[in-house]
Amino acid sequence: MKIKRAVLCWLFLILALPCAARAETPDKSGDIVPPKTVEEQAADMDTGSVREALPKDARKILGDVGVTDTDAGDKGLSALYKALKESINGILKKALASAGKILTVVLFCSVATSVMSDGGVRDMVSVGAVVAVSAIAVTNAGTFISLGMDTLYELSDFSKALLPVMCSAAASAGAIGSASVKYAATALFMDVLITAAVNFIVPLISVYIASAIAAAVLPKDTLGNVTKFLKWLCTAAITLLMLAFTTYLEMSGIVAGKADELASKAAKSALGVLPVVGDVISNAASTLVTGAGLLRNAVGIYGFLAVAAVCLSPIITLGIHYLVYKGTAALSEALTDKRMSDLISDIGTAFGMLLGLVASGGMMLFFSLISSMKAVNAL
Amino acid sequence: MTDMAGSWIRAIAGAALVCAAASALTPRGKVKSVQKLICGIVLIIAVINPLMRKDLPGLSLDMSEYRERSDKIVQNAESKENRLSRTIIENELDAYILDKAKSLGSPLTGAKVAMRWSEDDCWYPYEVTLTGPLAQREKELVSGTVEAELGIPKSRQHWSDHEN
Repeated sequence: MKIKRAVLCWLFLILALPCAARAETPDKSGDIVPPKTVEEQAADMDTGSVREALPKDARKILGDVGVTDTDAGDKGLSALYKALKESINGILKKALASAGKILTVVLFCSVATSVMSDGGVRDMVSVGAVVAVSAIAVTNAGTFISLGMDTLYELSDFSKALLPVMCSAAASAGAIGSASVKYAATALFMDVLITAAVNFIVPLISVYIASAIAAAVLPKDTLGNVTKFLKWLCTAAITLLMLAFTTYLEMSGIVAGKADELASKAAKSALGVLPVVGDVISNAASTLVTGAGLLRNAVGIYGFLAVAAVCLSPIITLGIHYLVYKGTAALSEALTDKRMSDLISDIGTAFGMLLGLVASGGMMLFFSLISSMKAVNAL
Repeated sequence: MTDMAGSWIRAIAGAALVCAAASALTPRGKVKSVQKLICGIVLIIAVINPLMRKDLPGLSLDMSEYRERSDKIVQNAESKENRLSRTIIENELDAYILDKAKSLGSPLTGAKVAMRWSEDDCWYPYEVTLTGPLAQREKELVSGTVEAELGIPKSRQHWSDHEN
C-alpha cells in the first residue's frame, strides 16, 4: 500500500514538472522574456554551483541541461526518460537472473524433498536450500543497502548546494521569512533522515533480513512476530519522519508566508508616497523580484530534475528487485513449503523498505522545492 | 555501515543455523525444552548484541542552529540584491536626468547619482555630479528640476565642466 502511494506521488511529481517548467509569464510570441538583470542575479546566487554539486552519474543523465535554461523541464524529462529506457533492461535482467537462481534452488530442493520421508535428512535439505537462497539474497541485499545509503548521502550532499541557492532565490523574490524557515526545516530533516537511516533504519532492515532468514531456518515460527515487528518499526519510522517533515514545512510555511505578504504590502505602501524616485525604485525592485522569481523557479525545476536523476537508478533497481522477489515468492509457493516463499517475500519486503527510505530522501527535497516555488512573490 | 549490517545478518543467520541443527539433533523430552530455552537466549543475544555496542548518534535537533545558517544565507542574498538594486536605480536616475536636461534643451553630457540607504530600508538619491558646458541659466534650470523631482538639494549637486 505504501509502495503504491510512493509510486503515485512520484508519478504526480513527474507529471507536474512540465507544467511548473512553463509557469513563467510569456510574451506575445509565447517565449519567456527574463529581465536583463537575471544573469547578474544568477551569478550573485551562484546558481552554477548547483550543477557542479550534482553527482557524476546524475550529471551524465542530465547532460547539457543548464540551471537557467528556459526549456530545462522538457529537456530534463527527455534525458530522464532516455536514461530510464537505457537502464531498465539491464536491471531487469539482473533481477531475473537472481530470481532464476532462487527458483532453481527451490526446484531442486522441492524435487529432493519430495522423494524423502519426514525426518532429520529432509529438514537438513530444506535448511540447505534456505541457506542457498539466503546466500543469493544476502549478496543482493548487501549491494542494495550500500546503494541506498550512497544515494541518501548523495542527496544530502547535493541538498547542501541546492538549498542555499533556492533559499537565496526565494528570499530575493520576496519570501524572506518562508525561505529561511523552509531551508532550516529541510536541512534539519535531511540530517535527521541520514542519521536515522545510518543508525536506526538500515540496521533494522538488516536485522529484518536476518530474522527472516532465521525464521526460515528454524523449525517452528519462532521469529515470525519479531520479523513483523521489525517491518512495522521500520515503516513507522520512515512514515513518522516524513509526516513530521511535511507537517512542519506546511505549518511554518503558512505562518512565515503570511508575514512575507504583510511585509510585501508594507513595502508597496512605503514606495507609493515617493515621486519620480519612488517609480524608479519600484521599477528596480519589481525587475529584481521578477528576475529572482524566474531564477527560483529555474533552480527549483533543475533541483527536481537533479533529484530525480540521482534517485532514478536506485529506485528502479530496488523497485524491480522488489517486484521480482515478490513474484518469485508467489511462484515458489507453488513448488515448495510456505517457509521458503515467506523468506523470499520478506527479502523482497526489505528491498521495498530500502526503496521507501531512498524515496523519502528524494520526496523530502521535492516537497521542499515545491513549497519554495509556490511561496509568495513580493510583486 | 554495510560491513556492520552484513556481519549482523551473518551472526543472526549463523545463530539460527546452529539452533536449527541443535533442534534437529536433540531428542524429544526435557533436554529438548532446555535446548529451546538456550536457543532462544542465543538468538536474542545475536539480535541485540550489535545494538548494545552501538554509540548513540550525536545529532543536534536544535532548530536555532539551522535558522542561524538560513538567516545568514538570507542576509547575504539581501545585501547582494541591495547592491544590484542600487546600481539599477543609479543608472535609471542618471538616464532620467540626462533625458530631462535634453528636453529642457541643456547640453548636459553626464550625470552621476550617488545613493544612500535610508531609515525606511530603501535607497534614496543623496548627491549628484552633473557634467557639461552649461550656461548659468541652464545650470539653474537643471538643478531646480533635479531638486524638485529627485529630492537632491542644490547643496549636494556638484557641477563639473568635464567628465573625469
